[in-house]
Amino acid sequence: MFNDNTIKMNPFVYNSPVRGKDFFNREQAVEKILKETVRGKSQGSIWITGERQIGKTSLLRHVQSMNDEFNEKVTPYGTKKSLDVAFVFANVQGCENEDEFYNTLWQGLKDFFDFKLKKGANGYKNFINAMTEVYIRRKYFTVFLIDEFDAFIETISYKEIHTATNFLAKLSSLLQEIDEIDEGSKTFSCVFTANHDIKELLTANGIDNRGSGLIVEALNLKWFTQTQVSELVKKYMKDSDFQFTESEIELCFKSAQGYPYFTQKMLSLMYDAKKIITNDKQYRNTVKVEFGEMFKETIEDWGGDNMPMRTLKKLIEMVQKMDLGRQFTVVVMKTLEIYLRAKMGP
Amino acid sequence: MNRNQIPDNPFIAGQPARGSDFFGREDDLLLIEQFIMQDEKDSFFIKGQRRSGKTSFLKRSQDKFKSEKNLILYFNLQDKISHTSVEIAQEIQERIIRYTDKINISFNKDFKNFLKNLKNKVNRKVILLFDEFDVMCKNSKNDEHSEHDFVNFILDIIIYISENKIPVKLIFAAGSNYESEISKHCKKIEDLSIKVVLTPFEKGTVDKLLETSRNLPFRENAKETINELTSGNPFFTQALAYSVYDFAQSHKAQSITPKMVKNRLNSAVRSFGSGVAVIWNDLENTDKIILYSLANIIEKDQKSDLNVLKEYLTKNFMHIDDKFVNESFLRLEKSGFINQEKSKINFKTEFFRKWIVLDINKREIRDIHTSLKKNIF
Repeated sequence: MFNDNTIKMNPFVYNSPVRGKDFFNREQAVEKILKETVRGKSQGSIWITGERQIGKTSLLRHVQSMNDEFNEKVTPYGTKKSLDVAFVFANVQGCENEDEFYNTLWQGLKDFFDFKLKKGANGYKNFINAMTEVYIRRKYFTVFLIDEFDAFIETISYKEIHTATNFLAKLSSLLQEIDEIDEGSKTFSCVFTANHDIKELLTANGIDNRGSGLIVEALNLKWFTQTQVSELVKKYMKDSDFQFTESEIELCFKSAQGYPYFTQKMLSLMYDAKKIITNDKQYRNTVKVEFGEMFKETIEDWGGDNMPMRTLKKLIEMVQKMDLGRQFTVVVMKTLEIYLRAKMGP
Repeated sequence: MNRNQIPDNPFIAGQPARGSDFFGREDDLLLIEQFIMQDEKDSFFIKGQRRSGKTSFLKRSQDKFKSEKNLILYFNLQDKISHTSVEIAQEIQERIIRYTDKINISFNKDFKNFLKNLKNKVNRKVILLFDEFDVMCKNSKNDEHSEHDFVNFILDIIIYISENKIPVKLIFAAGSNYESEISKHCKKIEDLSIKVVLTPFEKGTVDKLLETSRNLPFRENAKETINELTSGNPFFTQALAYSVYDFAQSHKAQSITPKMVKNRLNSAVRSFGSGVAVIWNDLENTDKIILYSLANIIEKDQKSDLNVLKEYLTKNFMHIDDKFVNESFLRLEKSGFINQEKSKINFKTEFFRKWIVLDINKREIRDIHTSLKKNIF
């Protein structure tokens, strides 16, 4: 029995990016980002792919939060400069054109540096002015953490394919050097997040990779292993009145397969249920049913249209391995197969 | 946050190599040096396949030969296709003015007049490097009206420079999988120029590149393995070396072995696939189908000869005319993607073959196939 006077908040996070001490299990990804963008010999860019709600935004926000403690200098490749580093977050999902894209980056820089530059009518010029201020006058190398980049590319290519082709060619040139600022050195890198990998994105939208194209290192965010789920639980429930058993963690892993969002959701359901249901069999059945319903609703909510094929196939595999009863499997598989058939075409 | 001092990965993938990271091409650099010093020719044309190191070569030329006597300016044309030739000419002027600011030379609407003023006032050679020039030429191989008007504009400028002895030299870098893919005016520019084709690195150059990893050396047989897998392609070599080094470093290895190299191939292909995709995207559709089929035949350890290939094509797509297979073969062999030894067909570069196997799915090839006109197959 639990004491109602000491009700503690459910520690599991699933509806917003994970922040601060709750961020967990992505040490290798963070190290890779730092290595590629600022610690390596040359400053490259990274393209992070992963299923919806796998933790891409949480990862970017975590890197952004490192601004206060990151005191390493970077020497842009080919120069002798020694610059500080700024990790600047920008979500470009809502941008409808290039102007808005560059203005979003400008705003990110303004939020970080609080400079007094006026925002003009031309987004690109605003961006260049800001980068001049940041790189030349303040001596910073910027790492833009660009969230939902594929959504933006899809938006602009939907209007006109050449717009997306031209935009990517321009961005690729800017990543090498900004002509307006300096002769021959990189001034920023990018970490992009997307549901699609870059090739999938370009192919699906009929976009050309003009010239040398946008060259990025690919990073595919993985699902958690059972050991990682176990460590996550230990960390999150450090101050909890009760703990999950190994068998309960196994239940969570069998259901959610380590998919971060579904893992957090399952743990959250288990946490709330365990506080009120004392009978173990009833508790397990309740969480399985609730999780199954939640999963089904989530899949329907996500829809099949914008789901990359890779994600769809992973979800199908996931459902086949889940131990949530035949009825659940049949219903959810039906939905996923409809999505799959729509994608495969006639 | 302070980190322990661990040696940085000495390899760079996807960025132009600078300074001492630039390897090989000594003969080609000498040609550039001689070109800059001489007065007979005013243009230099660098050709090479995608990811063969053209940008690195241009940047190296800029770093090595810039001086008080030589002002060398780099222009990337890949994002300029939506600009008019007037706008591009304006940008060139602005940059020249920026770097000759102590001399009173001002913008002129007429580019030729600007060049004339340059001759009279500036006591330096101005060397303009145009990277991704193929983007301007790309629209049509034979139709001079569909290429970007910048090509005709710059051809006119080359002739003007030569006739008026203007101290300006132009260096163009154009990437293409195929030698023949060039428009009429681009061909004229190429014909007027000193030419160089950037070829894959020789084994000696690859070895030298790998030897920069002093803290974590490559064993001799590991270097050989890298050579075999990348066939000297600069990008593939750097990408694979970068991945292997990272792996070896994280596992606290003392040296890099052939086994590590082979085990990291898939990972390197996946990490740097965006660079390989650029090569693939530029291929003719028929060539994509042939390479895809070959790549998968070899992956299944099957004999990769012409009969097996035709059988695979027939089984997975439809009956093909020998004429088209042969044309594709000739093209792919000439471009260095495959070679034939007696009846066996070899994929020249394992790194590329692996990328095709890992990244290209059957559906994509089927879509390519459906988009081809009936009379091609």
